[in-house]
Amino acid sequence: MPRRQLTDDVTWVYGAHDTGDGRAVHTSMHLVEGEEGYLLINSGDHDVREAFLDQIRAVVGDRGVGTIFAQESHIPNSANVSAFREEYDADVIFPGGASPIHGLPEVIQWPQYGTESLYGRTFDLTRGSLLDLPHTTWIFDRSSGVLFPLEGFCYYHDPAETGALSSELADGIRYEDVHDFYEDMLLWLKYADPRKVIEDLRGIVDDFDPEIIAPAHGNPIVREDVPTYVDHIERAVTEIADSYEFKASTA
Amino acid sequence: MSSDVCIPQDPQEIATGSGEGVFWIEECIEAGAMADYLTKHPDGQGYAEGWYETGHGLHLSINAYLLVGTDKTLLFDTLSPASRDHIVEAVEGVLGDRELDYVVVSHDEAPHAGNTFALMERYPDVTFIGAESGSPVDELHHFEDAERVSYGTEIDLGGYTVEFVEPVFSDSPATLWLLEHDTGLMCTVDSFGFPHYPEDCGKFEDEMATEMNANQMIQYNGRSIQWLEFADPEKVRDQLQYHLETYDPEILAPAHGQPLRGDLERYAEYGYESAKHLSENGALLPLFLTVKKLEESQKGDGDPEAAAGD
Repeated sequence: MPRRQLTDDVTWVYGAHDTGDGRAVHTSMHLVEGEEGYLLINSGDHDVREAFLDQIRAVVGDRGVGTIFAQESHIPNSANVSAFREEYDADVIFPGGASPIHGLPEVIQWPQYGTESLYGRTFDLTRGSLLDLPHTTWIFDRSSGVLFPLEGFCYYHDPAETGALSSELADGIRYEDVHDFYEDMLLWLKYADPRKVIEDLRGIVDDFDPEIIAPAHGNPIVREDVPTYVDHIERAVTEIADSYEFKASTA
Repeated sequence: MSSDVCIPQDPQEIATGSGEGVFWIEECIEAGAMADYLTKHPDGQGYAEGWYETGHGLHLSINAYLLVGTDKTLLFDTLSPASRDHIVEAVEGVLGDRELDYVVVSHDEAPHAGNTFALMERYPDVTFIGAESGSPVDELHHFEDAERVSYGTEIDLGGYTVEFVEPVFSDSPATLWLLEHDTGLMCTVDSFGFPHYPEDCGKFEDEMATEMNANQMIQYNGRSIQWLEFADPEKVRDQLQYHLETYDPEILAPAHGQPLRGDLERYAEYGYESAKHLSENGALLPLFLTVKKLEESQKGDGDPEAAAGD
């Protein structure tokens, strides 16, 4: 499992799983270096635990990870919170608050909306429009201009391009990779009103104007490729939502 | 692992039919923040209408259902990590010397799947079942040891036949509902959830002190199914209605509410009403504000806590 610097102080640690159709899906986490410590955003799925720990150890050295941000409580993204907490005695931030039912008895609660400071950096928080579990929170790091949208801005990729930025993809961001990811992973989109989803998503992009968008399950998207991605997701959400066929006799 | 906020309930038989019993295993959690919201916040007081008495305690249930057929046994969901001992002891108490043959995880979230591996350790020959939907990559759902099933798959337990059904209000993409054909039990996972009074633990909805209403269901759906804000409520209504027409269930058995029976159309209508309300007003967030309220606060002084009026 390799890593790559997205900016001077944001490291992308990534792996990928084959989807069985010639494509792959990322599992990612991101490390943000602040003045007084490292913030780890998400922790990956359980399958990559040791590899991710090795990568993080190589970056942080003796400084350790001070805080882990769990953007949601779901196996693909937060399966290793306990492992990192044990390794570094790190604080855990979880927008859902302390919750024994999620296996998180002690946490720092940040809101799903608002602005927080940590390690000399300012983070904007927002509840994303492409979400699955409750408490899902997207984070924008003002210092680096990187948006961390978890399940937002995701897409499948060619396994040969796992470590690439969007600008380095041979065919650019392919529409079918965006469509198929969301058809598989956000089942509720068929119940969606696509205008609401897209309006919310475009609003977030306009508000933050990110330099880089760093999803949990996709190649990082550089600023010049964001309009292409947004066009793709608008078309994909509309197609998935329009595929719903009314079936009940009262319809 | 145990927790003083989780209150285990004794398993109780909620249907019999041609098998040896369908048992409801409940874990209740204190919903104090929700009670505070309904008691103290102006918006919350509006939602209390018709079902909630100011200052009263509230619980939210986390449910598993154990089906004991004449040949095979099946557990649907495993409770949360906070109730590990409870679920193992409850299953042992019902099954006695019999084996647990199937453990079905409705989806890969801790309050539902939190004790899967503890149960697999206790019953090493058990078959672990998860949904085929979601990512094709088993590792992303921790389904490497699971048999992944599609909607429509049936399992004969002897006396009982279960069928896996497409969900309506789902969060994780790898989600299954379950229908048992003999008793008409339909396990609806994150659909039809609602909080209840502590004295109503272990009761069917129709046995509760106060009849449940749409405001009560909004308290759950608004926080746990946040995508309803982006939904077309007419699609949600259609899918709920289609399920009732197609599967004709007798009992709706949610993961986060008391079991429902009788006039099931009424409950489906509450599901629709809550979807409609949330699509118009936005989801409820952990700080117990609506999205709209928070957006307004950000345009003002940007202090969501102040906007909460706490």
